[in-house]
Amino acid sequence: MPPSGLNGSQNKHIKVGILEVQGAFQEHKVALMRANQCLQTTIKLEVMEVRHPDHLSPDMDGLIIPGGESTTISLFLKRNNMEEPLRNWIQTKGHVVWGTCAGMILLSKCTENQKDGGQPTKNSPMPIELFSFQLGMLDTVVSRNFFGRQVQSFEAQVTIKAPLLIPSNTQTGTSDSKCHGVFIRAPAVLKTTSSEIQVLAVLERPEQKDSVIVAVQQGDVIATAFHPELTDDLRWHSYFLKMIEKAKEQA
Amino acid sequence: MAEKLLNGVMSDVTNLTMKDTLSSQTGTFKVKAGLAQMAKGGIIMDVTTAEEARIAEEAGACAVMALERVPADIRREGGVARMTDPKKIKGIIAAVTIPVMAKSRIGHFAEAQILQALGVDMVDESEVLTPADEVNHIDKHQFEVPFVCGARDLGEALRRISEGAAMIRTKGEAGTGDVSEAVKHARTINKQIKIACALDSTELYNYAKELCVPHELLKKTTELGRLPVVNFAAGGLATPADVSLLMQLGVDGVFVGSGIFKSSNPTKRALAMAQAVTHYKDPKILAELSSDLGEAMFGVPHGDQSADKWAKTKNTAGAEKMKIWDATLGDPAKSKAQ
Repeated sequence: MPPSGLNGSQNKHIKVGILEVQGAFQEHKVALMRANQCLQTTIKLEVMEVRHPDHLSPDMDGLIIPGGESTTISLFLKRNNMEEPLRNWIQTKGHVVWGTCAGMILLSKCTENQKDGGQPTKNSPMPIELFSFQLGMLDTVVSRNFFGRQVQSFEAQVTIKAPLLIPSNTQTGTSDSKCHGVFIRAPAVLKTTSSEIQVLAVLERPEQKDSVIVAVQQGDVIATAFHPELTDDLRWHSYFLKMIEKAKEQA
Repeated sequence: MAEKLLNGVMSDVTNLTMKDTLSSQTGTFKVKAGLAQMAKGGIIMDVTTAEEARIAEEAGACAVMALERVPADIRREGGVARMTDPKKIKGIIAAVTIPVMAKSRIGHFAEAQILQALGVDMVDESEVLTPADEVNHIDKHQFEVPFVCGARDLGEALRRISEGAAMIRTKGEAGTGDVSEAVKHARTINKQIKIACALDSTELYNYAKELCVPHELLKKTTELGRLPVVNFAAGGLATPADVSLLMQLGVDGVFVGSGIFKSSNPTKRALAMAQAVTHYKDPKILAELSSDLGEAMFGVPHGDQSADKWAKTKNTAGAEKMKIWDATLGDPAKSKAQ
């Protein structure tokens, strides 16, 4: 057994990469730093940018895939030969990943290529699958632009289902089981295809008949259809940091 | 209005208030500015056909701008430039999955209403088209669709934001292939933000007066140390190096207009410029990307008055002193007809 002091110092340094291809990566960085401050741990958080396969270092503990347009990001990853390095990095034990919006689409196993609020694509354009890819880390079927185009983008309260997320709400005035969701040309989870998937949050609004799954977790992978980095609610970033801590302890 | 706007703007990076009451709202400033946030680190390409839109999407554009003619052709052919034919815009929307933007004339809110009804994801109230109103810009708060507007300096940028713009871009000199004006505008905005940040609270009131902008918005800018919305570069970018230059000057992303589809090998150039916007800090990768792209667009150097009739009316020298009504392009009817 290694001396506990050594173990302790290892735990105190967390490296989180942000895939800086497209999207609100700066806001994610700010939110992570603030979340780390609010958690009042002694953890030293280092946020790194990931733009090249070499940036995916094995000693990085977490990765955020922001979004963004999934088409654009997946094309970038493909062109820069980052698909396999990224898959390998994610599959390495102890590595934690979080995809927001486009990140959710990339992490899912299956995407329904739909446009305009769930209607099947008309005029069948060039099938996007031909030149895009998915990381396939979540047993989910997602729908791109589930809610429609930009004019249908919206803000709404999201109902949090994961108990871990609920208690630590300190600053904001929201009720604990709700959080502020910003949905921009957002995807949604149509169905989950494995019992390993834990639903973290759902959305209920008059426009949709049933509640819509908008955040999920499977092992060390989480995905949100909305953008917590655009709000002041740091619970999602705190949760992500806690997941990393836990994964590091277990590794 | 200002308060609503400020809430939205504050949310950009450090929002401290959150509305608990909202059930589900479309067209809020946060949602509008959010689309621009998602385009950060990306490249937006001008396209005139569905085919070009597919080339742009496949090259890695994060959005396309649907146009009747690219700026270089508007310059050459002259005449009044208007909103694109809705049929063409629909065709482009159907062809790609990425967001589709379209231009309305400055002040032409009816064109903007039509574009919103067509379902475009963002409207560019653009000086590239012939201004429809010499005095007023569109009141962009009235729309659910977000707007991007051009600016040559901090004053223009903040006035557009106060009118509801969710995104700003430098005006540059569209259709010239000369990046110098875009550089000037990006640098002017940066410099004026630095000046504003150095002023004390008393002096800031007067600076707001000098810039003809709301004081609150200028104050917010100094707190953030940057424009309170996403800021892209546009106007004259033609090479991966141009992209890198502007990105290093601190813009969040770039628009490329004539630079791609007026070059000898659009597919290859589109791809290279899309890669350049992510790898802008890495000269080695840029060297590879810049290699063997074929000829860049022909280009008209800024200030070449014999070749460029527009230049006469577009004196940007004293831009910071300009009043609101000078944000239009003077009288294009006089300058372009010839």
